[in-house]
Amino acid sequence: MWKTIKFYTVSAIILALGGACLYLYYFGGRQTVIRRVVDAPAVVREIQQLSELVTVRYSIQKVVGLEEDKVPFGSEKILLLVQGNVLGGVDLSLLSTNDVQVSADGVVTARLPQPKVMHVYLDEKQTRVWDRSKTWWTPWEPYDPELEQKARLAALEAIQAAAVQMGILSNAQDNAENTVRKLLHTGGVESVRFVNAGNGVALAP
Amino acid sequence: MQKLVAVIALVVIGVSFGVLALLRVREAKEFRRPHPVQTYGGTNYVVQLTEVVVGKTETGCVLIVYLRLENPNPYDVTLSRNWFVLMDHAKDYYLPSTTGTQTELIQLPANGILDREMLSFTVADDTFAGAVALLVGREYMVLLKDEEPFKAQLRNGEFRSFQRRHW
Repeated sequence: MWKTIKFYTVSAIILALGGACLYLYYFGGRQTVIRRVVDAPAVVREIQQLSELVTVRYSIQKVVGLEEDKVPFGSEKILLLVQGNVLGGVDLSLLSTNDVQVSADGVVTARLPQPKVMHVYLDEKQTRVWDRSKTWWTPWEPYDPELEQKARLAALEAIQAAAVQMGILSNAQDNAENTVRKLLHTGGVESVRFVNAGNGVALAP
Repeated sequence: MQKLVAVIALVVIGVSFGVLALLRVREAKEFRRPHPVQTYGGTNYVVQLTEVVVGKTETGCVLIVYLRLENPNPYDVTLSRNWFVLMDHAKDYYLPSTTGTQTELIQLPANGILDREMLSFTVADDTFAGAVALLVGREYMVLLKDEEPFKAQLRNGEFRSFQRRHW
């Protein structure tokens, strides 16, 4: 009698353990699905943290000449060979809650701020004075110590204009969209759609 | 007789150059005249044009205006760069660039002077076909260029600077 009870008890334990092992084998490996609730303010906060996002850099070489008229007569000239870097990007801190909309199926529609030139600077190692002269018949006129600085500032304007002409803004916009898309994917957003500020698409809050 | 004619000719040339020089110095002084103006809030400050630089770039023409700003008040004054609006003969308006080294706000320290504040405008090619003026204070415009068209053909990357209105 005692042996029969023992046999059934051990058999039950072995069956229970086997059943548990089978359950764990078939169902234990599956990860628990956590559905994240995406709301617009959270998305805006997440994007705003990127702040002034620089997404593209153009390196441009130019020859810039500046001729300064002297008072009363004569002029002074400088010719600079400059290399400048232009950084383009988007200031995401300007994003507001009205710029982000989350639909019921989890698709995020965002309107990023307009891309802009964030910074322009000269590469000092590659920038040099090519030529400097003044009118020969005004020898009494002193050289302007600030002429090179003025030429450098003019060069910055010329380099920025060249970068805009070459499409730095659209490039910055595309790269910013990719960066934001990746960031939101990491945060659990599956689909992100961007609309431009100027294309007339209204985002209702 | 020949010597007399030569002397008279030299005197005439010398006087002409002298008069021209005087006119140009006067023109430069007029250009650099200080303008006491007010902000939109009514705070006084003084603007003085020091130089204009005109140049050609890929996207059109560039006009750089150098200003000397003086704050006579015992407190700081903040000016918005966008208050300095450029207007051309065709009533086209341009706002200054606010990127790179040019911040959107200009801070004038109490009783202080900003010796070389720079405003940069990207303008259309026909802007210099007539007069160009700059709004430097509330309802106060200063002429940067007279009505004569700017005839010089600038190449891309070429700039010229002036300290007078006739260019």
